[in-house]
Amino acid sequence: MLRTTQEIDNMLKKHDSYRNGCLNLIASENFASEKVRSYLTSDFGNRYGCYSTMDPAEREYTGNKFIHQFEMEAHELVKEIFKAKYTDLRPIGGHMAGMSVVLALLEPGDLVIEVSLSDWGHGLVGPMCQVRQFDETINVEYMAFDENRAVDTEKLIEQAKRLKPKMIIFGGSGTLFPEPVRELRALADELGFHIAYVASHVTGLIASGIFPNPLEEGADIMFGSTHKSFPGPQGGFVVSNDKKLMIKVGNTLAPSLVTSHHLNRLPALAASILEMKEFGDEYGKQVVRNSKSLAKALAKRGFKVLGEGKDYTESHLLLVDIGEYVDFAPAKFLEKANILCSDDFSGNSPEVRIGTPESTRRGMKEENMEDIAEFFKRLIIDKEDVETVKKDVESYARQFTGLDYSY
Amino acid sequence: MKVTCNNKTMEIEEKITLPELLEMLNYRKTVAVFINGKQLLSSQLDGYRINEGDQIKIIRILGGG
Repeated sequence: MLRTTQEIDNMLKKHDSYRNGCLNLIASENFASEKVRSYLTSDFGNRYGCYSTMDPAEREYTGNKFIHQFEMEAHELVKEIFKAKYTDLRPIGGHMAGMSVVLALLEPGDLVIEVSLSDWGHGLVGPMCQVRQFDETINVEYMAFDENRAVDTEKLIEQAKRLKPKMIIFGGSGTLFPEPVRELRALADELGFHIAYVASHVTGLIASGIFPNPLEEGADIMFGSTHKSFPGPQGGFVVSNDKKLMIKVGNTLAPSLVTSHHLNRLPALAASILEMKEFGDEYGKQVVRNSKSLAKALAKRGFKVLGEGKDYTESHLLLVDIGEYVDFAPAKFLEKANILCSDDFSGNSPEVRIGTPESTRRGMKEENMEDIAEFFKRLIIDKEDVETVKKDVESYARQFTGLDYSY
Repeated sequence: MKVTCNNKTMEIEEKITLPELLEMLNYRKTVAVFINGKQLLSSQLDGYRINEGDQIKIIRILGGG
Protein backbone atom coordinates (compact mmCIF):
# COMPACT_ATOMS: atom_id res chain seq x y z
CA MET A 1 0.00 0.00 0.00
CA LEU A 2 1.23 3.48 -0.82
CA ARG A 3 2.08 5.49 2.32
CA THR A 4 3.76 8.69 1.08
CA THR A 5 3.72 10.88 -2.00
CA GLN A 6 7.41 10.05 -2.36
CA GLU A 7 6.37 6.46 -3.03
CA ILE A 8 3.92 7.68 -5.66
CA ASP A 9 6.68 9.74 -7.28
CA ASN A 10 9.06 6.80 -7.27
CA MET A 11 6.55 4.51 -8.91
CA LEU A 12 5.78 7.02 -11.64
CA LYS A 13 9.51 7.49 -12.25
CA LYS A 14 9.90 3.75 -12.61
CA HIS A 15 7.05 3.71 -15.10
CA ASP A 16 8.54 6.54 -17.16
CA SER A 17 11.98 4.94 -17.19
CA TYR A 18 10.53 1.55 -18.17
CA ARG A 19 8.42 3.01 -20.99
CA ASN A 20 11.38 5.01 -22.33
CA GLY A 21 13.18 1.70 -22.69
CA CYS A 22 10.31 0.14 -24.65
CA LEU A 23 9.50 0.33 -28.33
CA ASN A 24 5.87 1.39 -28.18
CA LEU A 25 4.16 0.08 -31.29
CA ILE A 26 0.65 0.01 -29.81
CA ALA A 27 -1.49 1.57 -32.53
CA SER A 28 -4.03 2.93 -30.06
CA GLU A 29 -1.55 4.91 -27.99
CA ASN A 30 0.46 8.04 -28.60
CA PHE A 31 2.80 10.38 -26.79
CA ALA A 32 1.26 13.75 -25.94
CA SER A 33 3.63 16.69 -25.63
CA GLU A 34 4.60 18.18 -22.27
CA LYS A 35 2.58 21.27 -23.19
CA VAL A 36 -0.55 19.18 -23.78
CA ARG A 37 0.04 17.14 -20.62
CA SER A 38 0.54 20.28 -18.52
CA TYR A 39 -3.03 21.43 -19.15
CA LEU A 40 -4.47 18.31 -17.56
CA THR A 41 -3.65 19.73 -14.13
CA SER A 42 -5.67 22.94 -14.58
CA ASP A 43 -8.45 23.93 -12.19
CA PHE A 44 -10.96 22.73 -14.78
CA GLY A 45 -10.27 19.24 -13.47
CA ASN A 46 -12.02 20.04 -10.21
CA ARG A 47 -15.16 21.60 -11.67
CA TYR A 48 -18.48 20.44 -13.06
CA GLY A 49 -19.64 21.83 -16.37
CA CYS A 50 -22.86 19.89 -16.93
CA TYR A 51 -25.29 21.42 -19.38
CA SER A 52 -28.43 20.58 -21.33
CA THR A 53 -27.71 19.71 -24.92
CA MET A 54 -29.14 22.69 -26.72
CA ASP A 55 -28.39 25.22 -24.04
CA PRO A 56 -24.74 24.99 -22.98
CA ALA A 57 -24.73 28.56 -21.73
CA GLU A 58 -27.11 27.53 -18.96
CA ARG A 59 -24.73 25.38 -16.91
CA GLU A 60 -26.25 23.43 -14.08
CA TYR A 61 -23.44 24.48 -11.71
CA THR A 62 -22.35 28.03 -10.91
CA GLY A 63 -18.86 29.43 -11.40
CA ASN A 64 -18.59 28.31 -15.01
CA LYS A 65 -18.25 31.66 -16.79
CA PHE A 66 -14.85 30.93 -18.29
CA ILE A 67 -15.34 27.18 -18.51
CA HIS A 68 -18.31 27.81 -20.79
CA GLN A 69 -16.33 30.27 -22.88
CA PHE A 70 -13.45 27.81 -23.17
CA GLU A 71 -15.61 24.85 -24.09
CA MET A 72 -17.30 26.82 -26.86
CA GLU A 73 -13.89 27.93 -28.18
CA ALA A 74 -12.73 24.29 -28.10
CA HIS A 75 -15.85 23.35 -30.09
CA GLU A 76 -14.78 25.81 -32.80
CA LEU A 77 -11.35 24.17 -33.04
CA VAL A 78 -12.84 20.68 -33.28
CA LYS A 79 -15.38 21.76 -35.89
CA GLU A 80 -12.67 23.40 -37.94
CA ILE A 81 -10.22 20.50 -37.89
CA PHE A 82 -12.90 17.89 -38.72
CA LYS A 83 -14.82 20.18 -41.10
CA ALA A 84 -18.07 19.73 -39.17
CA LYS A 85 -20.91 22.05 -38.26
CA TYR A 86 -21.63 20.51 -34.86
CA THR A 87 -19.68 18.76 -32.15
CA ASP A 88 -20.17 17.33 -28.69
CA LEU A 89 -17.10 16.92 -26.51
CA ARG A 90 -18.81 15.40 -23.50
CA PRO A 91 -17.91 11.74 -24.19
CA ILE A 92 -14.87 11.01 -22.05
CA GLY A 93 -13.71 8.26 -24.41
CA GLY A 94 -14.32 6.92 -27.89
CA HIS A 95 -16.40 4.00 -26.71
CA MET A 96 -18.77 6.28 -24.82
CA ALA A 97 -19.02 8.45 -27.93
CA GLY A 98 -19.99 5.38 -29.93
CA MET A 99 -22.52 4.20 -27.38
CA SER A 100 -24.17 7.61 -27.44
CA VAL A 101 -24.53 7.45 -31.23
CA VAL A 102 -25.87 3.90 -31.26
CA LEU A 103 -28.32 4.45 -28.42
CA ALA A 104 -29.45 7.83 -29.75
CA LEU A 105 -30.07 6.93 -33.37
CA LEU A 106 -31.36 3.36 -33.18
CA GLU A 107 -34.60 1.87 -31.94
CA PRO A 108 -34.93 -1.50 -30.20
CA GLY A 109 -34.82 -4.26 -32.81
CA ASP A 110 -32.93 -2.19 -35.38
CA LEU A 111 -30.14 -3.84 -37.35
CA VAL A 112 -26.58 -2.52 -37.54
CA ILE A 113 -23.84 -3.65 -39.90
CA GLU A 114 -20.41 -3.04 -38.39
CA VAL A 115 -16.88 -4.48 -38.47
CA SER A 116 -16.66 -7.79 -36.63
CA LEU A 117 -14.32 -8.30 -33.71
CA SER A 118 -12.88 -11.06 -35.92
CA ASP A 119 -11.75 -8.38 -38.35
CA TRP A 120 -10.34 -6.01 -35.76
CA GLY A 121 -13.66 -4.28 -35.26
CA HIS A 122 -13.98 -1.86 -32.37
CA GLY A 123 -16.69 -4.10 -31.10
CA LEU A 124 -19.16 -1.33 -30.53
CA VAL A 125 -22.49 -3.06 -30.96
CA GLY A 126 -21.22 -6.66 -30.96
CA PRO A 127 -20.06 -6.57 -27.33
CA MET A 128 -23.39 -5.08 -26.32
CA CYS A 129 -24.64 -8.63 -26.88
CA GLN A 130 -22.59 -9.52 -23.80
CA VAL A 131 -24.74 -7.25 -21.61
CA ARG A 132 -28.16 -8.67 -20.89
CA GLN A 133 -29.95 -5.31 -21.01
CA PHE A 134 -28.75 -4.76 -24.55
CA ASP A 135 -28.44 -8.18 -26.09
CA GLU A 136 -31.83 -8.41 -27.70
CA THR A 137 -32.42 -4.73 -28.33
CA ILE A 138 -30.01 -4.08 -31.21
CA ASN A 139 -29.18 -6.67 -33.84
CA VAL A 140 -25.81 -6.80 -35.49
CA GLU A 141 -24.37 -8.23 -38.69
CA TYR A 142 -20.81 -7.87 -39.92
CA MET A 143 -19.35 -6.54 -43.16
CA ALA A 144 -16.96 -8.65 -45.21
CA PHE A 145 -13.33 -7.87 -46.01
CA ASP A 146 -11.44 -8.80 -49.16
CA GLU A 147 -8.09 -10.59 -49.51
CA ASN A 148 -6.25 -7.32 -48.87
CA ARG A 149 -8.05 -6.54 -45.64
CA ALA A 150 -10.12 -3.77 -47.23
CA VAL A 151 -13.91 -3.63 -46.88
CA ASP A 152 -15.50 -5.64 -49.72
CA THR A 153 -17.69 -2.93 -51.23
CA GLU A 154 -19.73 -5.14 -53.55
CA LYS A 155 -20.58 -7.59 -50.79
CA LEU A 156 -21.49 -4.76 -48.44
CA ILE A 157 -23.85 -3.20 -50.96
CA GLU A 158 -25.50 -6.57 -51.56
CA GLN A 159 -25.72 -7.17 -47.80
CA ALA A 160 -27.28 -3.76 -47.17
CA LYS A 161 -29.87 -4.26 -49.94
CA ARG A 162 -30.74 -7.68 -48.56
CA LEU A 163 -30.82 -6.88 -44.83
CA LYS A 164 -31.94 -3.23 -44.90
CA PRO A 165 -30.00 -2.07 -41.81
CA LYS A 166 -30.76 1.13 -39.95
CA MET A 167 -27.08 1.96 -39.61
CA ILE A 168 -23.72 0.99 -41.09
CA ILE A 169 -20.75 1.72 -38.86
CA PHE A 170 -17.43 1.94 -40.66
CA GLY A 171 -14.05 1.89 -38.97
CA GLY A 172 -12.22 -0.44 -36.64
CA SER A 173 -9.05 -0.93 -34.67
CA GLY A 174 -7.28 -2.61 -37.58
CA THR A 175 -8.07 -0.12 -40.33
CA LEU A 176 -5.53 -0.37 -43.13
CA PHE A 177 -7.35 1.42 -45.93
CA PRO A 178 -10.11 4.04 -46.36
CA GLU A 179 -13.62 2.59 -46.29
CA PRO A 180 -16.24 2.90 -49.07
CA VAL A 181 -18.29 5.64 -47.42
CA ARG A 182 -18.80 7.54 -50.67
CA GLU A 183 -19.87 4.34 -52.44
CA LEU A 184 -22.61 3.64 -49.86
CA ARG A 185 -24.04 7.18 -49.65
CA ALA A 186 -26.61 6.87 -52.44
CA LEU A 187 -27.83 3.53 -51.10
CA ALA A 188 -28.13 5.02 -47.60
CA ASP A 189 -30.39 7.73 -49.00
CA GLU A 190 -32.41 5.21 -50.98
CA LEU A 191 -32.91 2.73 -48.13
CA GLY A 192 -32.91 5.24 -45.29
CA PHE A 193 -30.01 4.08 -43.11
CA HIS A 194 -27.41 6.18 -41.33
CA ILE A 195 -23.70 5.96 -42.09
CA ALA A 196 -21.63 6.32 -38.94
CA TYR A 197 -17.86 6.28 -38.77
CA VAL A 198 -15.71 5.20 -35.83
CA ALA A 199 -12.72 7.42 -36.39
CA SER A 200 -10.88 6.59 -33.17
CA HIS A 201 -7.86 5.01 -34.81
CA VAL A 202 -7.50 7.34 -37.76
CA THR A 203 -8.57 10.59 -36.08
CA GLY A 204 -5.05 12.01 -36.32
CA LEU A 205 -4.74 11.08 -39.97
CA ILE A 206 -8.12 12.63 -40.77
CA ALA A 207 -7.13 15.81 -38.91
CA SER A 208 -3.86 15.93 -40.82
CA GLY A 209 -5.63 15.50 -44.16
CA ILE A 210 -3.79 12.26 -45.00
CA PHE A 211 -6.87 10.04 -44.62
CA PRO A 212 -10.25 10.86 -46.23
CA ASN A 213 -12.60 12.81 -43.97
CA PRO A 214 -15.69 10.56 -43.64
CA LEU A 215 -18.01 13.56 -43.23
CA GLU A 216 -16.84 14.90 -46.58
CA GLU A 217 -17.25 11.42 -48.06
CA GLY A 218 -20.88 11.24 -46.97
CA ALA A 219 -20.99 9.91 -43.40
CA ASP A 220 -23.87 11.25 -41.32
CA ILE A 221 -21.92 11.23 -38.11
CA MET A 222 -18.36 10.57 -36.94
CA PHE A 223 -17.10 9.82 -33.47
CA GLY A 224 -13.99 8.57 -31.77
CA SER A 225 -11.18 9.21 -29.36
CA THR A 226 -8.52 11.88 -29.27
CA HIS A 227 -5.47 9.90 -28.24
CA LYS A 228 -4.62 7.24 -30.81
CA SER A 229 -3.17 8.52 -34.09
CA PHE A 230 -4.35 11.90 -32.78
CA PRO A 231 -1.75 12.92 -30.15
CA GLY A 232 -4.10 14.50 -27.64
CA PRO A 233 -5.27 13.69 -24.12
CA GLN A 234 -7.51 10.66 -23.59
CA GLY A 235 -11.06 11.65 -24.48
CA GLY A 236 -13.89 11.35 -26.97
CA PHE A 237 -15.85 13.42 -29.46
CA VAL A 238 -18.84 13.31 -31.81
CA VAL A 239 -19.13 15.50 -34.92
CA SER A 240 -21.79 15.84 -37.60
CA ASN A 241 -23.30 18.28 -40.04
CA ASP A 242 -26.80 17.18 -39.03
CA LYS A 243 -28.22 19.18 -36.12
CA LYS A 244 -31.10 16.78 -35.50
CA LEU A 245 -28.73 13.85 -35.04
CA MET A 246 -26.53 15.84 -32.69
CA ILE A 247 -29.51 16.81 -30.54
CA LYS A 248 -30.39 13.13 -30.17
CA VAL A 249 -26.79 12.23 -29.35
CA GLY A 250 -26.45 15.04 -26.83
CA ASN A 251 -29.68 14.11 -25.09
CA THR A 252 -28.47 10.51 -24.85
CA LEU A 253 -25.10 11.49 -23.48
CA ALA A 254 -26.47 13.66 -20.70
CA PRO A 255 -27.79 12.92 -18.24
CA SER A 256 -27.74 9.16 -19.01
CA LEU A 257 -24.14 8.33 -19.97
CA VAL A 258 -22.09 11.23 -18.61
CA THR A 259 -22.73 14.04 -16.18
CA SER A 260 -19.13 14.98 -15.45
CA HIS A 261 -17.28 15.33 -18.72
CA HIS A 262 -13.79 15.77 -17.25
CA LEU A 263 -13.22 19.39 -18.21
CA ASN A 264 -9.47 19.28 -17.67
CA ARG A 265 -9.02 17.45 -20.97
CA LEU A 266 -10.49 20.38 -22.93
CA PRO A 267 -7.48 22.75 -22.67
CA ALA A 268 -5.20 19.79 -23.41
CA LEU A 269 -7.33 18.85 -26.41
CA ALA A 270 -7.28 22.45 -27.65
CA ALA A 271 -3.48 22.55 -27.39
CA SER A 272 -3.14 19.27 -29.28
CA ILE A 273 -5.42 20.58 -32.05
CA LEU A 274 -3.23 23.69 -32.33
CA GLU A 275 -0.20 21.37 -32.62
CA MET A 276 -1.94 19.39 -35.34
CA LYS A 277 -2.87 22.53 -37.23
CA GLU A 278 0.80 23.48 -37.29
CA PHE A 279 2.53 20.08 -37.63
CA GLY A 280 -0.25 17.65 -38.58
CA ASP A 281 0.46 17.48 -42.30
CA GLU A 282 4.12 16.57 -41.78
CA TYR A 283 3.30 14.19 -38.91
CA GLY A 284 0.55 12.33 -40.79
CA LYS A 285 2.69 11.83 -43.89
CA GLN A 286 5.59 10.47 -41.81
CA VAL A 287 3.29 8.10 -39.90
CA VAL A 288 2.06 6.52 -43.13
CA ARG A 289 5.57 6.44 -44.62
CA ASN A 290 6.78 4.64 -41.50
CA SER A 291 3.89 2.16 -41.60
CA LYS A 292 4.60 1.28 -45.24
CA SER A 293 8.35 1.06 -44.60
CA LEU A 294 7.88 -1.23 -41.63
CA ALA A 295 5.47 -3.43 -43.59
CA LYS A 296 7.97 -3.78 -46.42
CA ALA A 297 10.87 -4.40 -44.05
CA LEU A 298 8.94 -7.19 -42.31
CA ALA A 299 7.82 -8.73 -45.62
CA LYS A 300 11.42 -8.67 -46.84
CA ARG A 301 12.39 -10.72 -43.79
CA GLY A 302 9.80 -13.40 -44.46
CA PHE A 303 6.78 -12.18 -42.51
CA LYS A 304 3.28 -12.42 -43.98
CA VAL A 305 2.15 -8.81 -43.86
CA LEU A 306 -1.53 -8.35 -44.73
CA GLY A 307 -2.69 -6.00 -47.49
CA GLU A 308 0.20 -6.79 -49.80
CA GLY A 309 -1.90 -6.25 -52.91
CA LYS A 310 -2.61 -2.66 -51.87
CA ASP A 311 0.89 -1.71 -50.70
CA TYR A 312 0.12 -3.02 -47.19
CA THR A 313 -1.43 0.05 -45.55
CA GLU A 314 -2.58 3.64 -45.88
CA SER A 315 -2.84 4.20 -42.15
CA HIS A 316 -0.89 4.32 -38.91
CA LEU A 317 -0.83 0.53 -38.52
CA LEU A 318 -0.05 -2.76 -40.16
CA LEU A 319 -1.22 -6.31 -39.52
CA VAL A 320 1.11 -9.28 -39.59
CA ASP A 321 0.05 -12.93 -39.61
CA ILE A 322 2.76 -14.82 -37.75
CA GLY A 323 0.98 -18.17 -37.65
CA GLU A 324 3.76 -19.69 -39.73
CA TYR A 325 6.19 -19.18 -36.87
CA VAL A 326 4.21 -19.33 -33.61
CA ASP A 327 0.91 -20.78 -32.44
CA PHE A 328 0.22 -18.32 -29.62
CA ALA A 329 -0.85 -14.70 -29.28
CA PRO A 330 2.51 -12.94 -29.31
CA ALA A 331 2.06 -9.62 -27.50
CA LYS A 332 2.97 -10.89 -24.02
CA PHE A 333 5.99 -12.67 -25.49
CA LEU A 334 7.17 -9.52 -27.31
CA GLU A 335 6.62 -7.52 -24.13
CA LYS A 336 9.37 -9.58 -22.50
CA ALA A 337 11.72 -8.03 -25.05
CA ASN A 338 10.32 -4.52 -24.40
CA ILE A 339 8.38 -4.44 -27.66
CA LEU A 340 4.80 -3.31 -27.09
CA CYS A 341 2.07 -4.08 -29.63
CA SER A 342 -1.35 -5.72 -29.72
CA ASP A 343 -2.61 -9.25 -30.19
CA ASP A 344 -5.38 -10.21 -32.49
CA PHE A 345 -8.16 -11.65 -30.34
CA SER A 346 -10.13 -13.09 -33.24
CA GLY A 347 -9.19 -16.67 -32.64
CA ASN A 348 -7.82 -16.86 -36.19
CA SER A 349 -4.19 -17.46 -37.02
CA PRO A 350 -2.05 -15.35 -34.65
CA GLU A 351 -1.94 -11.80 -35.94
CA VAL A 352 -0.14 -8.90 -34.45
CA ARG A 353 -1.10 -5.24 -34.87
CA ILE A 354 1.81 -2.84 -35.11
CA GLY A 355 1.31 0.92 -34.98
CA THR A 356 3.67 3.76 -35.82
CA PRO A 357 2.21 6.96 -34.24
CA GLU A 358 4.32 7.03 -31.09
CA SER A 359 7.58 5.92 -32.69
CA THR A 360 7.06 8.63 -35.33
CA ARG A 361 6.46 11.28 -32.68
CA ARG A 362 9.61 10.14 -30.86
CA GLY A 363 11.67 10.78 -33.99
CA MET A 364 11.83 7.55 -35.96
CA LYS A 365 11.94 7.62 -39.74
CA GLU A 366 11.86 5.04 -42.57
CA GLU A 367 15.39 3.74 -41.90
CA ASN A 368 14.48 2.96 -38.29
CA MET A 369 11.71 0.68 -39.48
CA GLU A 370 14.38 -1.69 -40.83
CA ASP A 371 15.84 -1.93 -37.32
CA ILE A 372 12.43 -2.62 -35.80
CA ALA A 373 11.71 -5.32 -38.37
CA GLU A 374 15.03 -6.94 -37.52
CA PHE A 375 14.06 -7.12 -33.82
CA PHE A 376 10.86 -8.95 -34.80
CA LYS A 377 12.81 -11.36 -37.00
CA ARG A 378 15.33 -12.13 -34.24
CA LEU A 379 12.54 -12.91 -31.78
CA ILE A 380 9.94 -14.66 -33.90
CA ILE A 381 11.76 -16.24 -36.84
CA ASP A 382 15.30 -16.75 -35.48
CA LYS A 383 14.03 -17.56 -31.94
CA GLU A 384 16.96 -15.68 -30.47
CA ASP A 385 17.25 -15.44 -26.69
CA VAL A 386 14.68 -12.92 -25.44
CA GLU A 387 16.98 -11.35 -22.84
CA THR A 388 19.64 -10.67 -25.48
CA VAL A 389 17.16 -8.99 -27.81
CA LYS A 390 15.63 -7.07 -24.91
CA LYS A 391 18.96 -5.41 -24.13
CA ASP A 392 19.29 -4.28 -27.74
CA VAL A 393 15.69 -3.07 -27.91
CA GLU A 394 16.07 -1.10 -24.70
CA SER A 395 19.27 0.66 -25.73
CA TYR A 396 17.70 1.39 -29.14
CA ALA A 397 14.48 2.81 -27.67
CA ARG A 398 16.41 5.09 -25.32
CA GLN A 399 17.86 6.86 -28.37
CA PHE A 400 14.36 8.12 -29.19
CA THR A 401 13.07 10.01 -26.18
CA GLY A 402 12.63 13.35 -27.92
CA LEU A 403 9.38 14.61 -29.39
CA ASP A 404 8.69 15.91 -32.90
CA TYR A 405 5.62 17.61 -34.39
CA SER A 406 4.83 19.43 -31.15
CA TYR A 407 5.36 22.67 -29.27
CA MET B 1 -16.96 -35.66 -29.49
CA LYS B 2 -15.15 -33.49 -32.02
CA VAL B 3 -15.63 -29.73 -32.37
CA THR B 4 -13.64 -26.96 -34.01
CA CYS B 5 -12.58 -24.16 -31.72
CA ASN B 6 -10.74 -21.15 -33.15
CA ASN B 7 -9.80 -23.12 -36.25
CA LYS B 8 -8.40 -26.07 -34.27
CA THR B 9 -10.09 -29.45 -34.07
CA MET B 10 -10.41 -30.68 -30.51
CA GLU B 11 -11.93 -33.62 -28.68
CA ILE B 12 -14.18 -32.73 -25.76
CA GLU B 13 -16.52 -34.60 -23.46
CA GLU B 14 -20.12 -34.97 -24.49
CA LYS B 15 -22.77 -32.77 -22.84
CA ILE B 16 -20.21 -30.10 -21.97
CA THR B 17 -21.65 -26.59 -21.61
CA LEU B 18 -20.16 -23.43 -23.01
CA PRO B 19 -19.17 -22.01 -19.58
CA GLU B 20 -17.40 -25.30 -18.86
CA LEU B 21 -15.55 -25.11 -22.17
CA LEU B 22 -14.52 -21.49 -21.50
CA GLU B 23 -13.22 -22.48 -18.08
CA MET B 24 -11.36 -25.44 -19.56
CA LEU B 25 -9.66 -23.14 -22.08
CA ASN B 26 -8.90 -20.48 -19.43
CA TYR B 27 -11.18 -17.82 -20.88
CA ARG B 28 -13.08 -15.36 -18.76
CA LYS B 29 -16.78 -15.01 -19.47
CA THR B 30 -16.28 -11.54 -21.00
CA VAL B 31 -15.70 -12.96 -24.43
CA ALA B 32 -17.78 -12.98 -27.59
CA VAL B 33 -18.71 -16.48 -28.70
CA PHE B 34 -19.80 -17.42 -32.19
CA ILE B 35 -21.30 -20.88 -32.79
CA ASN B 36 -21.47 -21.93 -36.42
CA GLY B 37 -21.09 -18.31 -37.48
CA LYS B 38 -23.76 -16.81 -35.25
CA GLN B 39 -22.91 -14.72 -32.19
CA LEU B 40 -24.57 -15.90 -28.98
CA LEU B 41 -26.45 -13.37 -26.89
CA SER B 42 -25.43 -13.06 -23.27
CA SER B 43 -28.68 -14.73 -22.23
CA GLN B 44 -27.75 -17.77 -24.35
CA LEU B 45 -24.22 -18.25 -23.01
CA ASP B 46 -24.90 -19.96 -19.69
CA GLY B 47 -27.23 -22.63 -20.93
CA TYR B 48 -25.59 -23.44 -24.24
CA ARG B 49 -24.63 -27.08 -24.59
CA ILE B 50 -21.91 -27.81 -27.16
CA ASN B 51 -22.93 -30.15 -29.98
CA GLU B 52 -20.89 -32.57 -32.05
CA GLY B 53 -19.26 -30.76 -34.95
CA ASP B 54 -19.91 -27.22 -33.65
CA GLN B 55 -17.67 -24.56 -35.16
CA ILE B 56 -16.80 -22.40 -32.17
CA LYS B 57 -15.08 -19.05 -32.30
CA ILE B 58 -14.11 -17.39 -29.04
CA ILE B 59 -12.99 -13.77 -29.23
CA ARG B 60 -11.50 -11.85 -26.39
CA ILE B 61 -12.62 -8.22 -26.50
CA LEU B 62 -9.81 -5.69 -26.82
CA GLY B 63 -10.73 -2.58 -24.84
CA GLY B 64 -9.37 0.88 -25.47
CA GLY B 65 -12.11 3.27 -26.57
